[in-house]
Amino acid sequence: MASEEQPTVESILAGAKHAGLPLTEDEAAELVKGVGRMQDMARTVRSLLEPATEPAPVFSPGEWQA
Amino acid sequence: MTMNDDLAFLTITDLARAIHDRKVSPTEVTRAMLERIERVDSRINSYITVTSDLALQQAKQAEQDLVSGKDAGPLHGVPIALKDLYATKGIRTTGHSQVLVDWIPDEDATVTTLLRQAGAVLLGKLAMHEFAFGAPGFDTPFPPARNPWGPEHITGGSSSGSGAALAAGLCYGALGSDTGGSIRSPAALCGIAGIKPTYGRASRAGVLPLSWSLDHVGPMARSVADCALMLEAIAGYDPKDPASADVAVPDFTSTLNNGVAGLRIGVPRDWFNEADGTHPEVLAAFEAALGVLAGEGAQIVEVDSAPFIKARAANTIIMISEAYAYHEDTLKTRPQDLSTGVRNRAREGAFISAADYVDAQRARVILGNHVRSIMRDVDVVASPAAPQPAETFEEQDPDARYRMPSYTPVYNLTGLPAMSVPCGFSSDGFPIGLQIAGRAFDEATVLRVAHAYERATDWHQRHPEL
Repeated sequence: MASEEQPTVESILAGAKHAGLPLTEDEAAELVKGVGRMQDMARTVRSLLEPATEPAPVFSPGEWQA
Repeated sequence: MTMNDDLAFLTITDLARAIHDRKVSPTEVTRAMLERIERVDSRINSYITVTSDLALQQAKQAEQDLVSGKDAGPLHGVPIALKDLYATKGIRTTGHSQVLVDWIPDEDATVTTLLRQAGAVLLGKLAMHEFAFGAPGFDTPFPPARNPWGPEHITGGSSSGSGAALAAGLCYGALGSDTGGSIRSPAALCGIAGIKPTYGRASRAGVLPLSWSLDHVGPMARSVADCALMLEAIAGYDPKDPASADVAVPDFTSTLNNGVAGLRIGVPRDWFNEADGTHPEVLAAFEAALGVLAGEGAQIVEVDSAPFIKARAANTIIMISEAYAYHEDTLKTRPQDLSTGVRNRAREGAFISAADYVDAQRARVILGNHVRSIMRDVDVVASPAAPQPAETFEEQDPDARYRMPSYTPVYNLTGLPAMSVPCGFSSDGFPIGLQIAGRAFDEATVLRVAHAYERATDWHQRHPEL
């Protein structure tokens, strides 16, 4: 599911099928708000990474130990 | 010493002195604690499993050791309890979930072993939010822990039982775990102290995960000095935890009394305000706390708020993605064994793309660099620990929770040490917490500042009536 699309029951059911996750229509309806929230957060994260040409740092848990 | 509430609310520091001075024996204090759990805990549900026989056996052993001159240190003979995600050999470890309701580990978690070696007495396993994830639910095999300051109110989480048991005088110290604030939130809402050490400082081997790159373990207690004592016992390199840091462990208690004169305390003021949902009484308590620290000689310095405000989104994306990876098999094969709240929240992880996860880890480095650059100019950063005092179970609203600010996840994202210490009460009698965060592996300064504040105030000496 592309992050810019607002989630719907249908898109969530399709995404769940793709992931091999068993989900009923009612269960998909319960996820609409939460999945939308994750997409909002993903957009917030992307906004921190502009410009996209910056070298991509990779998280290393021990980096601050130096 | 009589077996009364005064004994129940002693700090570890004072209890250790009483044990070593032979004013009370480990067996006496353990028996008193077990009787109090039996009498009180049905009101707050802080324990899932009480290990009475083991506790009395360990207490008796501690007594014999101490009499024969074998002194393992200040935790020797002190009754403690563990959040029910620490593996305990031969003792059920459930994660507060139907999924693990019958799991009896073959081995101890590393920190369980370290506490045993320090002579601590294990009273039992404590309630938590299921798999340290989400909000307290009523569709788990055990009831949610309730706040001793008002049982209709939540404790904060996910180390809910740890916060409740300490506030209620049902153990002297506890371990919690913290992936986005799960030690500091219940510490703040229950009116006790809790520290999330630096990532890598204490081993997570044998601890049920929520999110491998964000999970931390740490102590909770009724004083800052007690947290320092427990942290000393559990800190250190462990090859069984791939994130464990081979860094020397200092004597955290030796610098506790050095005071704050001359220290610089950074305050990212734009991070917390009433318009964003921070309770005015929390803001007032925080400002008063800064006044106390300034009165003790600290210099209060305003710092850039931007990385603190932006960190939560990256923390959430990483946490939900990694939690989905851990729970994926359960979600596909036995989803009915997870509570509705955890099931739904974990399922959200299936809809976060790989690119979103990688971007969150990239943002983590950028934000981490920014926070560390701020930390170079100050000794610690202060903030409220939680935006609101404890709400009621009925008032819980996940949407509202996401709209509110959150002051804890930035230190999971950056791995920096942070602790909560009591700094006041709301007008309806619920605790408020002050968060102090520091540089990597500088828990000593975090503890020193928190101790200086605690020494100048008496919030930590108040206890709920049960």
